Amino acid sequence: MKDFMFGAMRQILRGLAPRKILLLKRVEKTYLGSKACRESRCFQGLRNNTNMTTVIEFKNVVKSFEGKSVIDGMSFSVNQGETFCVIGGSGTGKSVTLKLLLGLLPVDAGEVYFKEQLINDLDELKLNRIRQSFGMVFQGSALFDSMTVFENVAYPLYELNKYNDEEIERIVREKLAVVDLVDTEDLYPADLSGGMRKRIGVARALATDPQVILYDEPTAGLDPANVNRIDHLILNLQKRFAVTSILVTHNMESVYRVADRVALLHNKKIGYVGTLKDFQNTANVLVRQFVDGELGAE
Amino acid sequence: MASDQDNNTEIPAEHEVHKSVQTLLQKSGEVALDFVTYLGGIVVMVFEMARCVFVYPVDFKYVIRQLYDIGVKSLVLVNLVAVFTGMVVALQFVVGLKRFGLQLYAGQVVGIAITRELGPVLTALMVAARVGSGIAAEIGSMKVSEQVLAIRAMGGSPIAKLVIPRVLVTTIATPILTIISIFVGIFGGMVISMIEAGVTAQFYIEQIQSTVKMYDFMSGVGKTVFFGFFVGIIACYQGLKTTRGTKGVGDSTTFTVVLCSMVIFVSDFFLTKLFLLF
Repeated sequence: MKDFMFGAMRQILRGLAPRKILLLKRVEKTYLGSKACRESRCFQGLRNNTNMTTVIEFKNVVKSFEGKSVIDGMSFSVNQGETFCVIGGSGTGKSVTLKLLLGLLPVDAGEVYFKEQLINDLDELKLNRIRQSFGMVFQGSALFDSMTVFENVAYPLYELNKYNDEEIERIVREKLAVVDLVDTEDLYPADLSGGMRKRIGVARALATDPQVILYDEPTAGLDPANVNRIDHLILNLQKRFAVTSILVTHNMESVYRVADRVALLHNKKIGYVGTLKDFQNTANVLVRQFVDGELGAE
Repeated sequence: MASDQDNNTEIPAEHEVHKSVQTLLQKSGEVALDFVTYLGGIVVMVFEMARCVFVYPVDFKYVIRQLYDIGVKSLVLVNLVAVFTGMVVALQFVVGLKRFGLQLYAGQVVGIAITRELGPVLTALMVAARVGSGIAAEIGSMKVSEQVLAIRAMGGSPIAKLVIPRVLVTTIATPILTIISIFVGIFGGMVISMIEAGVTAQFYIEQIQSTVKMYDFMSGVGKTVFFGFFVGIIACYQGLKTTRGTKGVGDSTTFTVVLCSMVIFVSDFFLTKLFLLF
């Protein structure tokens, strides 16, 4: 009799499952508009957005490789919760900027601040703690070949040493769902297409819920559908979690879709910086040359 | 133009000698500088490892898995080398000692040669060729595809994640493989002694037991701990130093095998000398 009862209940619950999901979605919707959500940590960022707290600041940064100057006197700042696009021709030091920001490369001179903390003279151990507040999407995805997709996305979580195995599994599934690649857990990066690898790279960068996400050419070499998908992802993350994003790209469509502010690298420093609206309307020669693809911009 | 030619013919001998000496000095200076820089890089990495051991957890799961991968899968190669080395050494000594009518005692020499020298060095060379090259290629390709950078970007340490486990693996696996290869080599020698010199297995084993002391065995196996460590360190360092894409990976792999072999031969002499002091 008991068995029958339990069996029947299980059947009913199974039947209810789709409805439960709908219910959950409704709960989520109400939550997003509620007072509790507004007071939560995620939302704090959005509110701070209006106060324009500076998260990252470069002051007169200089960097050269084997005597060849790449960046010379670069200064800019990125505000909390904004999407900051860095554009510029190939070889103008866009990727280097991101690496300097994470302390992956040492600066020759100048100062790099993260939340008012000077980071360029910290040792590797202290830098590692700071790097855990960042997520980085690499140009070539830089997924670990020897690990499955699951292990790749879980990697930063293991490094954080904060979660147990069940939590890690839950988080990885969640992040894979965000990039719409749920069934790829057991595959290896070599089994995936370029676009999928990029998205796994994004999922890995999201895994630790970082405060700042750095995208190094996330849409380079992707088809329009995937470009669109990644752009929407960046927008969604900013809207929902007030994540600060720095996007290095030369895809102008992406810039127009996601940017709050745009900086143009020119002649080893920031040649122009302004809000997207200003950027679109500016008469700045450098911007016009770059956008119109004239050779003079290089 | 004419005066230029005159000038050229006037001072050639002295000038040329002067110039070639200068080039020679410059070149040797560069080589010395490269060598010191390389050595310095390795020493810095070893210090960094010592620091990381206390800060980051060591991935023992990986070490065990790799011990299986490297150790067990190298067994065939190592044993093949060992058995044939044992056989050829026995053959040579049987022939050589026959001149003095001492061919029955070839086993003693084979035992000492295999235990003290041939087993350890040849096993270490095989580890360098099979494992060292693999490590250099793996870490090298991770370096050029920015995976090493990704580890750092996520707040990890490539030294803790990549280097320490691999160095541990080579340091542990080499002595174990050596112990096995010593026994296999002595067995190979036994087969040949029985066939060529007509000794019985029991006589051969008694000979080995009476000649090869624990001290010889420890000296032979002890050296391989260092060999394994050197192979691991060089392979990892070379891997992390890799630049310039796939060509760089190939170069690193080759260089690792060459350098490891050289280091094994050179350090073998000094380690043997050092062990003789105790």
